[in-house]
Amino acid sequence: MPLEPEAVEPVAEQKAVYPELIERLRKAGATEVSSLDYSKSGMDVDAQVTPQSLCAVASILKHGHFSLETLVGVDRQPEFEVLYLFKADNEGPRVKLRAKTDRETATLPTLTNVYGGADWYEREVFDMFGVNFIDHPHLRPLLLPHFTKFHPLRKDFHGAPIVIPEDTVEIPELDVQAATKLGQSTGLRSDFFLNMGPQHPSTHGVLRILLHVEGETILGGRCHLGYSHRGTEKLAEKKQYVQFLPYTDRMDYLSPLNYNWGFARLLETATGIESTPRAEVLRVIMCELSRIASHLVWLGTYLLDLGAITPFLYCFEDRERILTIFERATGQRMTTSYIVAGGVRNDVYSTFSLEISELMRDMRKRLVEYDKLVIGNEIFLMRTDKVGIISPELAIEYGVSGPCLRGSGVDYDARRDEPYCELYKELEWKVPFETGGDCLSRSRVRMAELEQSVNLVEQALLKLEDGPVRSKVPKIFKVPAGEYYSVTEGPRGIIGWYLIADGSQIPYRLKVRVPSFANLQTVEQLMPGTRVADVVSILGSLDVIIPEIDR
Amino acid sequence: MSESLQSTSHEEAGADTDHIPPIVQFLPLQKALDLARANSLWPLTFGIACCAIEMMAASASRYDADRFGAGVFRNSPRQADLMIVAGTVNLKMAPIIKRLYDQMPSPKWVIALGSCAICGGPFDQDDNYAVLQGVEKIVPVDIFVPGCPPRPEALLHAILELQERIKSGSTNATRA
Repeated sequence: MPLEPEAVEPVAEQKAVYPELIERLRKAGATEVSSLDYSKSGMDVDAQVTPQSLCAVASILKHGHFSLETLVGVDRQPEFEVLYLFKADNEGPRVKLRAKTDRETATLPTLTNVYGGADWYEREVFDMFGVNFIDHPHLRPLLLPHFTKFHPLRKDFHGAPIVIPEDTVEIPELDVQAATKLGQSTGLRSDFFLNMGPQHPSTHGVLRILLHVEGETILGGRCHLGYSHRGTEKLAEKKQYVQFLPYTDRMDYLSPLNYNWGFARLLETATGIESTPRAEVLRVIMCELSRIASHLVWLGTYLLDLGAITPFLYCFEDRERILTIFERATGQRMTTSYIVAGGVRNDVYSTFSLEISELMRDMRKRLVEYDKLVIGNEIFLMRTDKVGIISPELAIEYGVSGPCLRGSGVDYDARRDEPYCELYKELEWKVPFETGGDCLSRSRVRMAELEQSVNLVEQALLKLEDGPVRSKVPKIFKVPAGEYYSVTEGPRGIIGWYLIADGSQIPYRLKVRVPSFANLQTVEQLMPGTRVADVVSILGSLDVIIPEIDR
Repeated sequence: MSESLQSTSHEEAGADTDHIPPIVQFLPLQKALDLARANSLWPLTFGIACCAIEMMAASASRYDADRFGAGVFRNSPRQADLMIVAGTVNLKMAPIIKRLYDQMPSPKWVIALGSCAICGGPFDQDDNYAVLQGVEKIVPVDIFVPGCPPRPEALLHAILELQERIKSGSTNATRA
């Protein structure tokens, strides 16, 4: 534990208040600071800030080792509000800052000087709401194409046909200018760009990275996102809560169950519905299986990127066995929509436990094999050791989570530290973490997590007792007006859901905090000084899913 | 056979002004070529979303698309002759798909894998501002595979179906 959180009581046991923090936030210029009930809203402290005091208040939080989890833009009609969600590590509080701006000017100061990780989040808000962030170093569309002229998440936007202009190749002039400046100052070549993606086998989806290179050495690089943007958050404002569930599958298709659980937990937090004991056990089993399946795909494709083809075939064979179980239990191999508010959708089949315990027995043998063949392999070590080092400070500043955070020596796992399921406390397992921060550490964390997940599944199977799998849920599902936040741990890190409900059947605003977004954002910091081949290794070790980032 | 093939491709290429049917036709040679092409499809590695994972599964150990000669996934469009559009195509991506298609050497074929590539799938809303409602609007599609995502078997079936069509010369492919 390199960084100590503020000394406070664990959040779940009692209603914690943070008088010292609140006092410090007040002093820095925050108005209307209040403490919230964590069990109901998922947040501990709520503070209103003025545009002038935003940076000062954020500095206080930065000093207290808070990480910026996400930005949520809201169209409050008429004014816009931007919510900044912070979390302290482990048992510290979650803090929400609210900054308002009116519709006409729509400007706020940038937070990038305090939190480097605010960069992409601010660009996303700029995209979706048209809020300008003054002095932002790189303010241009992140997710939308450069030729669109609208802001889709504004409430007065009701769809517009995008006309694709003839000349659609985006030449990112800002990137070119920045690179030219860098080239002039260092005396290196300024004009050589390498375009990686969107059609590139190692980007795991459709990510474009514009690399500025000098020979094989990378001087800088910019990510271009949005090639898989599907407007899910806008769709959420048109769908009923129940109807939105299938879209959660399609955000992260490698671990749809973890997303289902996150969404179900959000609705349970908001409405007070509780799931049944059997459903909780089933959730843990299914989600840990899903984590295993997801990490197996990571292992296979990462090694494929590094040039080893055979492990891919082995990993997919194991994954297919897990998917067969998913299919029999949920009806679908990948897009399961299985975990719903109040439990799970249906009970499992009779030989469920038997099949899984057999599979887990085989998995243990396979994991030893993978570890020996892959992680100890000399070529693998050369490609990953000391490559792409994320320091703990960088990880916290950028809001990195999941195995990438634990690979940097920060011991945080929402399953243990955010008590969203009682069962995780009862089972015996540990959170693996490494201190290297490089690709190898992240790989080792994932390999250790595979083993821990097998542990968890085996123990959870013993706790599976008969009973109902779903509690009573009203036919017409409404969420009482209010703001809710819920956090679960997916295979890639923290999946956060921020919901603003107005009491109807449809969300007013639903924001998903996806782990890959923050994880990928560090890549721009990691690339300078490395070789082109290292980018492939770094990208693979971050294990990003592009449709999850783009949404 | 040859005539129908030629007329089909002539009609298809009607819009392309520079297409002239060959004066001398080599029917047996054409047939042999088609047979060879059908059994050695080289797909383009091009996953966009969920369906890409099923495409990977189809080429991995359990389903093994190599059995049908269609497992040599190429990373460059210039080496591929089958484009499997696996995932949601949005309007930022559409021009790139078109460009990739243009970069592939003829004859070339397209499989639209999954609901999103067929018609926008679950993102097929009247006012969805981002998603292209069907990849057919930008490239000529030969086989549509329904499902969200389709199972690997469905993709294999599509490949077999495409092979039959290539052998009988009834595809949408533009011939150089």
